Amino acid sequence: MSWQSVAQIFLWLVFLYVLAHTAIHLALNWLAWLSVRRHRQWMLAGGGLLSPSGLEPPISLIVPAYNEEHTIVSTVRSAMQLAYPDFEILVVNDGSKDATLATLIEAFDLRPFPEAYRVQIHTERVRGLWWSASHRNLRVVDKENGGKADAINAGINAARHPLVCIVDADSVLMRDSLLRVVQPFITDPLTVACGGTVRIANGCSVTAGFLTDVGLPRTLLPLLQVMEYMRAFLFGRMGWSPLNGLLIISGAFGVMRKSVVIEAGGYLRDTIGEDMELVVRMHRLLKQRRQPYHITFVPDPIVWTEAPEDLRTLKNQRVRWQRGLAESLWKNRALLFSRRGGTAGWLAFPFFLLFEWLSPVVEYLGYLATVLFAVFGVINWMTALWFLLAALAFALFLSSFALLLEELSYRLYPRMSQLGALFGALVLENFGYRQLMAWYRLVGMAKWITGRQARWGTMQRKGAWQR
Amino acid sequence: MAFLFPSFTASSGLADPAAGQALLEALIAFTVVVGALSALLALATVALRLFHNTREQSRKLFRERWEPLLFEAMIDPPAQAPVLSRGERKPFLELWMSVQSHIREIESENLNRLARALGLEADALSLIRSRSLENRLLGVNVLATLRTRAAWDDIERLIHSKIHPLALRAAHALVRIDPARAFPGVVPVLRPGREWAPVQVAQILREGAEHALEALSQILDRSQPAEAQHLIRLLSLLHNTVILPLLRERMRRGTAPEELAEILYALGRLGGPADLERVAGHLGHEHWLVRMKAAQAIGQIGTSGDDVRLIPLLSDQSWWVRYRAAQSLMSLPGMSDTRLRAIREGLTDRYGRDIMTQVLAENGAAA
Repeated sequence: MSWQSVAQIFLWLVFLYVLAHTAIHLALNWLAWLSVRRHRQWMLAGGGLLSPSGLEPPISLIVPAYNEEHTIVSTVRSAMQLAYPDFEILVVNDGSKDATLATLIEAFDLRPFPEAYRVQIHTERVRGLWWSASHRNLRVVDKENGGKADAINAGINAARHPLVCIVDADSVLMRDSLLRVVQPFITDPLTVACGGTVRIANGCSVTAGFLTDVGLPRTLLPLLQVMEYMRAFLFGRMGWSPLNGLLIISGAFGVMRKSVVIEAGGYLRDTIGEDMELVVRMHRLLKQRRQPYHITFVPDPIVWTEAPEDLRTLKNQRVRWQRGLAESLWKNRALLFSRRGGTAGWLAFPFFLLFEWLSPVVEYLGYLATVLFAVFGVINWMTALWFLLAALAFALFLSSFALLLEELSYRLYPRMSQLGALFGALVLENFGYRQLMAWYRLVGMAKWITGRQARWGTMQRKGAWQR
Repeated sequence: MAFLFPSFTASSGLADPAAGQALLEALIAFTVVVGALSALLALATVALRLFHNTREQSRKLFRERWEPLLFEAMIDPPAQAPVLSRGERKPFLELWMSVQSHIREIESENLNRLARALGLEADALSLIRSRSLENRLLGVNVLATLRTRAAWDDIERLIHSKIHPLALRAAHALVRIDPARAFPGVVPVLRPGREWAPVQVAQILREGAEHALEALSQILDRSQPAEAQHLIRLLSLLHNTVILPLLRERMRRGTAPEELAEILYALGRLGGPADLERVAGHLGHEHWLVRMKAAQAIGQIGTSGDDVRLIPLLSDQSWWVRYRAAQSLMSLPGMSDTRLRAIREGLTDRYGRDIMTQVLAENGAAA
């Protein structure tokens, strides 16, 4: 076979890949739009009256903490102000080396507590439980270091309520976040897990741990991530919810039925993407058992997170995400095309494998091959150019669609100047940023293949928007 | 142009010129179509934003002009109704409804008079016949506030709407207009489902659940245990003892554990000594949820002698049953710290002692 034939087959395959990716994204965006519209109709008619009805199941809010002495008190204080009828806060101190526990003891008047602690998921040794004399719904589990997943598992063991909500210590919530995310559990008894839409907090105003004003970041890197979150993490994934094919519930904020998490064995300690892995495992186990269930998603923005503002932190984050994705898919590969796999096994899993996990490889192979083929005269420069233009058009299309959906639904950034900035980001991200993210993901793949150890993810946070 | 459309002027350079040309043409077609679509989407986004901003601006101006009149009319309705142009009638209704949702009943009645004088009932009626959900919701809300009996048939049709939130709104409107007439017909709409809105359902039931007992009983018969559980919880939250006969009857007939647990919870909140034996009969139920709710209810309606019923549950295999039994022991009338400690010391089961220690600590009564 000649080089020309190889190039011809290869380029056709890449083109078909892009075509399939476009078609699937179109379908997902359409589904996302339908579910947003339905949700908004429900809200418009008063279904989303955000006052408690009395049916809200009690929730245990679990906050895993490792070396958080500077932020943990404000995190707990903001959690205490959540508008929800019945919830407890469980901070799990995962063997912090700093004064996390001492800070909590002092701030909340913690006392040792003779808890009848039930070990339902094995964890590192629990040294003791503390109970706040000043805030009766606050308890602290003090345990030996075992990693984030282990800390969450200890929190689940100590949780008293049927629903557990896992919150990152640095997530910015809204007062009604819990009320919103719990609605699917009230209206649909088959709901076993529900995630909320994560948005970027950089540029917003945050007072006492709550979001008070929505704004756009003033620097380029987080602004590009706003567009990316909108495209990939909002409408791209929301489409899976009505199909019951949602494979990710962000670790920043998600609610799960405790009994199902315990039956699934809790969070895995040896994975870096423990949030996604648990959701995929729940799909696999519940499908195997033929137990009807729904894993769902609330389209309203209910949790805000700080996006990395420097490349090093961004790289760490993306490498971690890609490794987490690979681990989650690999550990639950039995779900792929399994007889009872349903939408999760037959559509969502292959999609994540082909278009999320493999996409940086295809993207880089596409770039490299196109340039090399052109340099060595296998194809002419015009074909190479049109290839790159097609990739650009594809990216612009996905982003424009996401921006239109945002305009039709939430319109979180109401000023014309903000819309202009988003359009700027939409175009700019194609010239360097997208390629850089694909590169970081390639690094993540390489690290997963070489099997380096997982550990607590640390992030350089500025928190300049917090007051 | 030759640069933009090379398929007409140059080959792709690939081995099979025809296949190469096909690839090039496919690439160009894809890029042009997708690029044009992107541009269209971007234009649509900008157009939508401009339209939205213009609408918001005109609403603001409208509000500034008419809000003072509405505030005056709340206290002293004008002798002569103002004249509204055709285009102003819907925005006026929106503003009228928005003001109505924030005021007291007497002020609301004055605004109702103004609306009737302006003939807004006819506008609301035409709104509920339109296709737009927003318009229909506005129309239903206005007619419910005005309690317009003439709109009964039109609103009744909406309770069969496939858009469940609209059906619920319509049901609420009918109940506000005439609860006795409305309830039997609207109860099926209250059945829990994927688009259920519990706050609204509770509001509807609050308007007069006594008119709906028979229909509710039938709905409960046809509901899944989890749905029945929700409905009973909502009924018990109404603090209306009129539902007690319904609950007792369902308990007598025997129901699924989830529903039974909810009935026990309701009896604990609303029942009295007459229900004590009925509740205590479930302390040994095979399902832990039922035992737990029974123990909890004993803590609310039990007497000082009921500690003997609860002590065995301190050794129950379920943590939650032990926990609720210990809490209920504490809330029994006449229970003292000394007695509670004596109960703890008398327990031979480690789990029972642990849970008593915990609950004593929670109540600040630990030794």
